[in-house]
Amino acid sequence: MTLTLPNHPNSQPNDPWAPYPATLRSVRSEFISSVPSLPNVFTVELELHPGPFAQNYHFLPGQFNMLHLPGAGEVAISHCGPHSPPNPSLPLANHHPQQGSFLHTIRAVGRVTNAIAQLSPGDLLGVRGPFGNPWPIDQLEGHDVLLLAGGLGLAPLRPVIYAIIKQRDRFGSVSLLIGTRNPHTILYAQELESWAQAGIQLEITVDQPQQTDIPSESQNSLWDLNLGPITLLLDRRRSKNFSPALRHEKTKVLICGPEIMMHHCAMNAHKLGIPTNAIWISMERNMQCGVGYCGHCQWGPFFLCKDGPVLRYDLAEPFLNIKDL
Amino acid sequence: MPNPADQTSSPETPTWLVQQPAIESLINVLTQSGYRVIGPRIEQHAIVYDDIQSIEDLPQNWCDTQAPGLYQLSPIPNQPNKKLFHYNVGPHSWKKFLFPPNSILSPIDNQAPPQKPLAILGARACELAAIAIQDRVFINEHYTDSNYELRRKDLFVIAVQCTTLADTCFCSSMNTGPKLPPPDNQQFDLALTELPDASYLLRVGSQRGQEIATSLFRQHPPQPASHNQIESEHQAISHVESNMKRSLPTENLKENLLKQLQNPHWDDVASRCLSCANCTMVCPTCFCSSVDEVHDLTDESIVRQRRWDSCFNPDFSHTSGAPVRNTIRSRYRQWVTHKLATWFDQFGSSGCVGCGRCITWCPVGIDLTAEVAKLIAPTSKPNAQ
Repeated sequence: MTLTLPNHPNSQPNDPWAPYPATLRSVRSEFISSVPSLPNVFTVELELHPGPFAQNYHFLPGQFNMLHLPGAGEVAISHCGPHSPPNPSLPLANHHPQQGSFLHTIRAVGRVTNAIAQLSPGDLLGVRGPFGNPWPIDQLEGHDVLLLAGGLGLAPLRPVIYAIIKQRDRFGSVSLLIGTRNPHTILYAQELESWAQAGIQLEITVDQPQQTDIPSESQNSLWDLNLGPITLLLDRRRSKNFSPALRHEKTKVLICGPEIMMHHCAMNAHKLGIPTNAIWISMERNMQCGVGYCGHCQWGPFFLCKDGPVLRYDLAEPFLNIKDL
Repeated sequence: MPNPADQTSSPETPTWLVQQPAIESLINVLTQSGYRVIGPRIEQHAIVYDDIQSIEDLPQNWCDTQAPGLYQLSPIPNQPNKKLFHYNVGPHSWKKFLFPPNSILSPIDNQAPPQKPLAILGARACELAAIAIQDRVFINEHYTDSNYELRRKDLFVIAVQCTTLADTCFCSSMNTGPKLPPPDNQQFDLALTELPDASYLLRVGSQRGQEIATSLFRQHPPQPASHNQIESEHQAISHVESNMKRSLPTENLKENLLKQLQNPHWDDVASRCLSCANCTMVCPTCFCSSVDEVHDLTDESIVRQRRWDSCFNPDFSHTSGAPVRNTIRSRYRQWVTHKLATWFDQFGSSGCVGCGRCITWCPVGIDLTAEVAKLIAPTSKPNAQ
C-alpha cells in the first residue's frame, strides 16, 4: 500500500509545537442545557490574534486543530466551519460573527474539554493547526454526494455542507443522512432548515423517538424523523421508487461518526454499488502532536493525525475489522 | 608524515593507523574545539553513554555477556593490551542525547546558555542506521522538529567498527551491520577499528572529520595502514558475521506479518509480556512521546514538558474515554507490526536495526526474532476474519 501525504496548507518550516493565541468570541449550547441527561455539547467561535499565523491560516473541511488551555492540556477538535451560517436569519445566538473566525463543536467529556466548557467570551486559548488530511471536496464536483453523519460526526461534515452550498450548482444531488440518539441530540438543529433551502436533501433517523425528561414545549416537530439505525436510510435507496434515483457510478460518499457506524455505512453503501474508492471515512484516535511525531494516533500504516483523519475506505477497510488495532 | 590531502583525491579513502594515545588526544581535540564528548562508560554494572573526559572513563578491558533477559559485564581474561571498545551495545542509545527523555517545549528559556554541540564516541553500525531512521521521523518534507534538528545538525560522529558480537545481535539480517558503512556514505565523521594489539585504524568520513583529524595528526603523525592490518580488520568482521546466531526473516516481512494480525500466537506472547515498556525505552528508533502540563505548587508557572512515551502504556491509545488497546496482546502486536511492517509505509524502511537491545533488556526474555519466526511460520493459520 502506498500512501500519499496530504498537502499541508501550513507547510512552511514553522514550529509545529507552538500554540497560537486565539480569543473565544462566542459560545452556544447545542442541546437543551437544562436537561442533565443530554450530553454537554457546545460550539465555540474562535478568532486568531492578528499576525502572520492568522494571515496565513487556511483550513480545509475535515482538518482539525489542537486547542490548548495552559494547565489543562491539549485536545484535538475538528474544524466545524469558517463562521456562522451565511443565512443572516439564522445567526449564532445574539452574536454577529467576526470576519475570519471559525467554529469548533466540543463535547465536554475529559479534562481539557471540561475546562474549555468553563470559558466565557473574551477568554484566551491556544490553537495549533490546522492538521490532517481533508475531505476530498475537489473530487465531489460533478457528482452526487451522500453525507452520512452519526451523532457528533456531523461536526466535521458541517464545513463540507457550506462548501457545497457556496457553489451548489457544481454538484449533483446532495443528501445529508443524520443518525442520532433522539430528537434532542440533533446537532446544528437551528441550521438544518437553511441547508434544506439551499438544496441539501435531509433525512434524519433516531434510536429513541422521545426522551421522557424533556419538557414538552421543547419537543422538536420540525422534521419527519425515522426510527432506527442510519443504515436504514441507505438501504431504502435500493428501491426503484426512491427519488432521486441512486446513480451509484456517479455518487461519492462521506461518512463521519462512531467507528462501527462508519464501517456498516461504508459496507452498505458498497452493497448499493458504490465503489469502495468513492467512499471516505473520518477516523478518530488519540491525536496529540498533529504532525506524526508523538505516535499516539497510529492505526495500521496510518498516522491518523496526518494521513487521516479522512481516509479513503478502500485503504482503511483491511484494518476496520480488527479488534483493538 | 604523509599528507592526507594527497590521498583523499584517490578513489579509495585512506586508512590510517594510530596508537592508543591518539584516542586520548582525540577526546581532547574535540573538547578544545567546543564539543561535549559523549561516550561509553560503566554505571551501575552496565555500559552506558555519558560525558567522558579521557580514555580512563571508557570501559577498559571490559566485555559483556548478553542473552534474552541477561546482561553481565566481566573483565576480559588474559588481556595483555588495554582494549577500549571490546563490548557490544548496552541499554543506552544515542537517541537519549538527540531526542532527550525529557525536554521543555515551553516556555523557552532565552537566558539559557547555548548547548554545546555533541560529539559521540563509539557509535556502532546498527546505531548509525538507527540515527538515520530517527532523522526520517523528525525531519520530513512538512515539518522539522527543531529540538531534534538543533542537536542533530552539529553532531560529530565517531563510529567504531564492531569486532565482537553479543548473543542477541542480529544486524546482519537487517542489513545494518556489522560492517560500518563506507566513509562516503556521510554517516560518520571519523571511524575507528580497534585491532588486537590495541592500535586503531582510522578513516575520515567528512570535511568536519578531516579538520579534527588534521589537528590530531599534528600531535600523532599517523602511518598508512598496512595490508596486514586491514586484513586483520576483515577477519574480525567476518568472525562477527559468521558467528551471528539470530536473524529476522526480512524477505516480505511486512506482508507476512500483516497477514497475522489475528494469529493466536499474540496471546501466547501476551501471557509472558509484562507490558513494562523496557523494549521501547532501549530501542534506538522508538520515538513516541507525550506532552504534560507541569504545574508548580503555586500554579503560577506551567511548563509544557515532552517525555518519552510507549505504546505499551495502556493510556497511550486513550481515545474518547477509554484505551483502544486495552490488552497486552494488542499492545505487543502494535509494537511489533509497527516496528517491522507499517514502518515501511511511514518512513520507507524497517524500524528495526537488529541491535538486540529489546531482547537483552526484556525482563522475561521475550526474543523478538523467535516470536516473529513463530508468527510467520508456515504452520501459522492466516488471518481468520
